[in-house]
Amino acid sequence: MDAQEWLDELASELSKLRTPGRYRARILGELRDHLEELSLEKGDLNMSTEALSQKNLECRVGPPTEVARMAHEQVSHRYFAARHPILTFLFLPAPVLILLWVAYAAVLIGVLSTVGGYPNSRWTESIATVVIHSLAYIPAIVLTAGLARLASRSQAGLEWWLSGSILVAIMAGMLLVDFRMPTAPGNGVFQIGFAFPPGLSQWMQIVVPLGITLCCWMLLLKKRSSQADPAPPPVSE
Amino acid sequence: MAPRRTNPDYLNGIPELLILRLLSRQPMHGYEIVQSLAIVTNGQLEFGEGCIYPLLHRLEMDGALLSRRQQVRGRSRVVYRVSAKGRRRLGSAVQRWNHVVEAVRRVLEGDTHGCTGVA
Repeated sequence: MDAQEWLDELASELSKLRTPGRYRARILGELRDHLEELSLEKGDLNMSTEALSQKNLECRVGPPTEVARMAHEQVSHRYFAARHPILTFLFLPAPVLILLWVAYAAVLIGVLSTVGGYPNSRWTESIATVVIHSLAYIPAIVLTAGLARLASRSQAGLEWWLSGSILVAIMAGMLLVDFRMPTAPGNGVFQIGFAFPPGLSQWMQIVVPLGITLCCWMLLLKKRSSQADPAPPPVSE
Repeated sequence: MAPRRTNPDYLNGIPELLILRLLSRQPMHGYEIVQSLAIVTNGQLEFGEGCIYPLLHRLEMDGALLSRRQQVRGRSRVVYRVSAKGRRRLGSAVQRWNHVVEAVRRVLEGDTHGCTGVA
């Protein structure tokens, strides 16, 4: 195995492990520098990569599989999501979604209390209804996008992320928001609750996060396949 | 064929300690670190040279090292140096290591002071 083959094999192993492209480029660059130094060792500036292979490159630098495994571990060690995918993608989304609902509802109630009064046009009533019903969508969309971003950055398994996103969509579908602007004192309605199985309007609340998940999934697959790049530039001789 | 060099389990934590110590003396690039390790340890501790880079990167991610690509003898290399956080980490790692060495030494030298006998 010569230096270029060693680097090619390392690049391929790193791709298999889904190591992020930027980090892959970095470690390959530094190892290329290292191999160049090896070839310059003992002052023989004309030593070629073939000559390097005769010195049994793998014994000295280490097997590409081992170096790739260590490199991948160092990167994934950095992200909580990669170290604890079950906790991050299966157990945390439910409480986080509930917290987001509460926070969003608190903001809406605060805004409604501030604005107060009765709608002075059908236009204001429509806007108020849309804003209130956004409670059923916005927190779930934010969380779905957040989970996708987390999966992308941490290189966590897609299966965990997909499971978490489906869970968020189902929870979003269970939320029931009922709102009617008051036309006289005391006859306005603002109710939040859960209903299962979901009614017709709630199915939309499931479909939207799932659609976002599908889009993110396609983007992630595209990103990961484009990261499966290839061969590093040749080692200078 | 010579055996492949990787990091045996019993070396856990030692490469980091040695890297931090070497870099606390002067900034170096990866190849210089490997060479220095070989010289200082007189070849007694052998690492797969490629395994040094993931360790350097993790130490950098942890904030213990800083790196910068610069010219070294006319060639562009990533040079590492220890940060203030790295120096603190080195201090505690050395302390921990000294405790381990002392404990192992006591066991090997048969120091049973303070131990109760076992029937």
